[in-house]
Order: sequence, then structure tokens, then C-alpha cells
Amino acid sequence: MKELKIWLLYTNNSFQQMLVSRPTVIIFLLGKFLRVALFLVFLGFLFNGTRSIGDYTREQIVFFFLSFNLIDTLAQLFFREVYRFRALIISGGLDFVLVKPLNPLIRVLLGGADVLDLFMLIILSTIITVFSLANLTVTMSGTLLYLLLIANSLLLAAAFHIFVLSLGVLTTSVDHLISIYRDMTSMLRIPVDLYTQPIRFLLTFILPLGIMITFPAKAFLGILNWEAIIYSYGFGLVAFYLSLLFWNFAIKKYSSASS
Amino acid sequence: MNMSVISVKGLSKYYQVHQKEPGLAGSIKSLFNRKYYDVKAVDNVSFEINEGELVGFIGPNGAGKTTTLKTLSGLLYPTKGEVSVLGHTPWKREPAFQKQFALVMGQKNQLWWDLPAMESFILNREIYEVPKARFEETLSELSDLLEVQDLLKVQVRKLSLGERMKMELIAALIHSPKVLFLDEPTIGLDVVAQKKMRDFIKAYNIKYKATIILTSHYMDDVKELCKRIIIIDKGTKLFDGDLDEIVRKFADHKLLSMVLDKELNRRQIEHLSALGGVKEYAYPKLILQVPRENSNKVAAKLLQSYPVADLNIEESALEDIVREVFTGKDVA
Amino acid sequence: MKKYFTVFLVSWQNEFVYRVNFILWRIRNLLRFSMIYFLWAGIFISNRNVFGYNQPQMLTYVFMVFLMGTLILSAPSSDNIGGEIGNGDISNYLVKPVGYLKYWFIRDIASKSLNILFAIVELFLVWLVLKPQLIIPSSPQIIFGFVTAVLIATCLYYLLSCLVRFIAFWTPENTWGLSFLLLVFVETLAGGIFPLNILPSWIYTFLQFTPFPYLVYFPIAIFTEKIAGWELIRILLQSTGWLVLIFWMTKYTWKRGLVVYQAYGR
Repeated sequence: MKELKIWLLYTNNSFQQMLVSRPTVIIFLLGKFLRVALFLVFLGFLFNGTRSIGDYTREQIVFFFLSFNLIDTLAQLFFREVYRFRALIISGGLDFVLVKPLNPLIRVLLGGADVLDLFMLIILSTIITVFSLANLTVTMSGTLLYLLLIANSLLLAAAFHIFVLSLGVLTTSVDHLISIYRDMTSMLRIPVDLYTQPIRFLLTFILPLGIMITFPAKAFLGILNWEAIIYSYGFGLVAFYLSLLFWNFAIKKYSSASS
Repeated sequence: MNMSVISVKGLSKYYQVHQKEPGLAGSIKSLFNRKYYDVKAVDNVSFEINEGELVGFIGPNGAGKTTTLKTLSGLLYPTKGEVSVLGHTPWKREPAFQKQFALVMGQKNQLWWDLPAMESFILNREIYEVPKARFEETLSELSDLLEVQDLLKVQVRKLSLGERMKMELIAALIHSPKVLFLDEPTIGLDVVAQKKMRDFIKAYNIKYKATIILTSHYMDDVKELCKRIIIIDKGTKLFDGDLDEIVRKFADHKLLSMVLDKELNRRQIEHLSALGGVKEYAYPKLILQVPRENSNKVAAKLLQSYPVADLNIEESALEDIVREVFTGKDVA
Repeated sequence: MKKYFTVFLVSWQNEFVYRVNFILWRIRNLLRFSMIYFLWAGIFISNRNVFGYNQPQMLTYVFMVFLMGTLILSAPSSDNIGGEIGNGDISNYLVKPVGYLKYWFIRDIASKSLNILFAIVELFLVWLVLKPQLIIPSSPQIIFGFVTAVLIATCLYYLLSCLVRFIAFWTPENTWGLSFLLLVFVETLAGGIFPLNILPSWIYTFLQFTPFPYLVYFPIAIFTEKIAGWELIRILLQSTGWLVLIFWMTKYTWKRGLVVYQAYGR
């Protein structure tokens, strides 16, 4: 369909644009990779002193962390354009988007896929696959649930990014919200169970970050119950729907800055 | 019976803006308590435009021109009034409507910076669902008209401002819109590029019978392109009619533009002020502003008693006329 | 000097104008803090002692990281030196009788002082809620050493961030690549997540040959008395050395960058 074709064109353009400068590619890839590597090193040293943290073994904790990166990277891959939204509004470019016969979300949410995150995704997927096969019991059902729940995580991430876009339309303060989102998701580098109440409750049931990041990994390890799975999907669908409503509301309220 | 393509009735758009007192105390206060006041960007504006017309919107900054254009494009909801463009209500943003018009804003670009313009054209082709054959045809026509055939594969960032504007135009027109909204299209361009832009707009208007609304600060744009102009100031419509009409109505002065072959002595200079206002005197050039009715008489007198080598009777500069309209002369 | 004071005031005003932004920035800081706090609290549930740190010590560390982060690692919300170089905006500053670097330094300080005020209030509230045991030093030498280290760290980080942004002179399309790398390094290697002395000694020593530990870890280590006596003096000397080095590098890069900038005739 038309939207898919256009998304592919956008992605193609966006990828090309990012690959224009080779030093940039190298620096950013290096940075992203180091971010993961350094924390893994930290975990490594941490576990020199302990065999487990909470109820989880060392291998499980590493898996949770790698999972976090996988999902985080996936979200950035698709929704990178949201980080540029503020510039778009301020320059008046949003008007050009709204004037066209195309759902604006295709452009402002999905229009800037990040090729570097695609590279990271490939690297991370490889690492995670090798690591799990070597250190954890891998089951078909676990893997299937893992992937299905990651799809739901993407839906949740989309909902959040759309929410940020809507707020951006209303107030143009996108950057801090995105930073908060990143900071909060990075709280989930460790499984949400390690947090004490009430934070744990907050991160699982109020802000769906626990659902987004810890649950898929738990499902993989076979320790997620059915109610939680259903709850995840329910939350994901509802959140997505609500975010779209909010977006429509924001566009209605939009009054562009005068020339 | 010519159905109007653009119909605007009683359009009004009001904004709320907040006021901040200067200084640090004012900043802290504005964290807690903000005062808002109403700005009437557009106030009760009405007009009808028919197919193929090329209409100029002129007015000072903040007059409401861009706001009106944005409402016609569907970007803004009006506070009051009815608007219909090509039979659609713009702010409903129906794709059927959006596929038939284009908005071009001077100095604002929508092209992908690091890629050749061609990529942006292809993107628009898909968005506007232009059939491939027609796309190729339109592309080659436009790039010929604008003389940029060799630049299509060059990165946009490497083009000059003039070339970039041309690419913007192609991107905007690739779907052969019936209605064109041009907001300050020549701003920032050099004189040559401005002329080229104007020629193109004129050609496009004639060839495709496109209905065009043009806003501009440059009187030359308006003079060359628009038969009909609408003057807007402070959100209200001051004048709507042919360019000649406004000249006839408001210009109660004519300009006598002369080339002298001898410098004037003091007595002659003093006597000049009895005949009319000296607009400019820099030997050998002399421009005298005289009331319309007297222009012939004064011209004759000057030719008789002054060392005039050449004399022309001209209308007042359009800029001056328009300025007088803004400063509140009687519009009726 | 007066003009810099005006810059300071206008900077504060600027922060207030974007009031939503400002509040969000404070929330963000608080979140970062909570996250690291609870990470460690979680780790200490099943462990009494991690690398020689008990819970009160580690939590004090985290509190201090929050304070240090605000003090040393923050930047004004409209800081866009890289962007300004990239699109030629610094020309506006270069023609005015205001040192560009000094200008942004003052804005940096202004932003930080505003943040400090709020951070102190927030920390107090958080302390009321969480009531962790904190360890506060008493001797004046410690306080003095600490303050010195913090001052050095502030300037050091400011210069480092300028330095990485000056790459914009040579690559105007890519203005924040190196900034991103700096951020990644500072996040872990400065001690923002964990105290650096839990690392093996060879890594610990190696890190002292980078500017990072002096930004967060060492000031805190002084404060919590992990470093004292001769070692304290040595560390302070090392951080001063780094400050001088980076200062010269920054100045030099700025000069060379301007030459390149003007050659482009923007």
C-alpha cells in the first residue's frame, strides 16, 4: 500500500543521508557500541563479588541487559525522526508536512529511520543469540513469546513517541521528554523486579516500561505468567489507541508560528 | 458563469499571545501568572477568486497575508468565517483536496539537504500519487522551463540559493496543482533570479491556467504578475481590485521626471516649489511631484522656462501609493 | 565585567521562558538520580558488601553523584555551540566585544547555579523521603580539597565539551559526533554509575591517564574520605595538570578552527 511504499522511500533517503559522512558513521557506531560494552564490563566486575543479584543469576542479568539494548535500539531505529521534531516545528517545516495528502505520522514518526541503529541491531541480535545458546536454556515457546512480546514493546514505544510528538506540537518541548524517556527506559537495564516497591509497581503498571523491557525477557526465560502476557498486550493496544487520539487532538490545536 | 475556485467569506483568525515584563522579576512572575491578550491576525476578510487568476496579496509585515494563505492551505482553523477552495473546506485536509494545490514558502525548503533534488521529487510523486508517465513529462517540462536539467542529480546543499528555489518549485509543482499559494517566493533572491522566478510564474499561470495567490513585499513582483491585487493591513482587507484602478484612485499625484541640460540657479529652484514638490534633484536628474490635474500644465511650463532636455510624465511609484493606502487614506 | 553579569542574568531569564522545559529538566535530573539509587539499593538487598562498600557508603556515593552531576556535568538548555559553528551563527558573536568562550562559560555557570539551587531543595526532599544514612566529612582539609576538586572538574568538563564541539569547524555537517562519544565515556568512566575503585587496580591506574575520573569520581572520593593525605594532594595535582592540558588544547583548537572558519567565508 501507499504508506508502506512511502515509508520505504523515506527510510531509503534517511539511510542514504546518514551514510554520507563516513567519520560520522564510525563515531556514532563506536559510541553506541561502547555504551553497551562499558556497561557489560561493569556488570562483569560487579559479578566478581557476587554470584547473583536478587533472584537472578549472572547470565540472566546479562540477558536482561542485552534485551534492553535490543528493544531500545529497535525503537530508535524506527522512531529516530521524533528526535528531530522540534527543529521541524520551529523552522515551519511541519506546515509542509500537513499540507500533503499523507498521514503526517508517517513522516514525523517513521520518516527518519536510523541506519546506524540497524547495524547495532544486527550486532546485538548476533550477540544475544550466541550468548543465550551458550549460557541459557533456549526453548521454542520461549523464543516465540519473546519475539511476540517485543512486537508489543514496539507498539508501546510507538505510543510513547506519538505522545511526545503530540506534546511537541502543543508546546515544542520535545527534547527533554525524549531524554526522560531514554533515562527511564535505561532504568530497565536491570530487571524491574530488582526495584523495591513502590517504584516496581510504578514501572510495571503505571508507566509500562517494565512491560516493555523486562517482560519479553522474562517470557524468554519461561518465567512470565499468562496474565502478565495478556496484560501486556492489553496495555499496548490501549496505549497506542490513546496516543493516536491525543495526536489528533494536538494537530487540531496546532497554530503555526507566523512567518 | 465562472464558478469561483477560491471563496472566502468573513474569515477571521484571532490568537492569544502572552505578555512578559522585562527583567528577571518579570521572568519569575511569568512562571506563575501569565497575561494574555488577543491578536486579530485576520478580521472579517472576504473575496472570491476565479480560475486562472493571478492575484497579489500585499501588505506590511504582520498584516495577515501568511495567516490567510495558511488558512486556505488548511493549516489553520479560522475563528470565524467560511472558506472553500476547489469546492473543499481546506482544514478538513481531504487528500482529494491536498492533491490539487501546492504551497510554496520563500526561504523555507522541504528538500532533503544531503540528497539530490531528484529523490525529493520521487518522494512527492509517491505522496501525490502521480502516474509515472505524467511525472516524467511534468519533470522534463518544468526542468526545461527553469533550465535545471543538469542539476537534478546534484546534492541540494551544493546548489546556489536560486537553483535551490527552482528545485523547490519543481518539487511543489510536480503534481500539476490547479491552485498555487506562493508566500514571498522571491525573498532573498538576487535580481536576476527574481526576474526568472516571475517569468516562470507567469508562464505557469498562462500555460496551465493555474489559479495563483502570491504574497510579496516586492512591488515589482506585483506589478509584473498581478492584474488584480488585494491589500491587507492589520488583518482587514483595504482594497480588492485591478492594479490600474488603485493607481487611478489613490494616486492623486503624477511624477514629472526630467533630465536637465543646465544646472538650475537659486531663483529657479525656489520657483520649483510653487509648481510642485521636489521629489529628487541630483543634476541632471529632477523629479517633481505634481497634482494629477495640473500635470500637463506644469509640464508645459517647465518645458518653456526651464533647461529641460527630456521630460516624462509617470504615475507615482506603486510603493508610494500602497504606502498611502496603509496610512489610512479613504478607501471608499 | 558588567556585561558578563548581564549575560548571567539573561541566561537565567532564558531558562525561565521555557518554563515547561525547565521543569522537565529538573524532573529528568531527579529521575537519573532515582534510577541509580534504586539500582544500588536493589543490588544491596542480597549483598551486604560490594567491593568494600556497604550500603550507606554506596548510597552516599549516589547522592554525591547527583550533586556532582548537577554541578559539573550540566549545560545551558540552549547550548548549541556545535550548531552555531556549523551554520555560521558564531559570526554574530565574533564581531561583538564579547569573548565567545567566556560568554558560553558564563552561561554555563549561570545555568549551573540555577540548577544547584533546585538540586539542593530536591535532594533535601528526597533525603526526607528515603532517609538513607549518609556520611558527611568534617575536617576542613577534606572540605577544601573537595571544593578545589569540584572547581577544577567544572572547568575541565566545560573545556572538554567545548573541545569536542569544535570539530564543527572542520565538519560542519556533523557537529555532535564527538560530543556523543564524550557523553558515553563520561557516563561510565567518570564514575557516574559506580565508584571507580571497584575496578581492578590496573584499570584504575589507567583511567587516571584520561580526564574522566577527575570529573565525578575523585571529587566524591575526596568527600567520602576514600582518598586522603598524600594521595589527595597527588590527585589534585593530576587534575590540575589535566585542566591545564585541556585548556591549552581548547585554546589552540579554537584558534585553528577560526582560521578554517574564516577561510570558508561564511
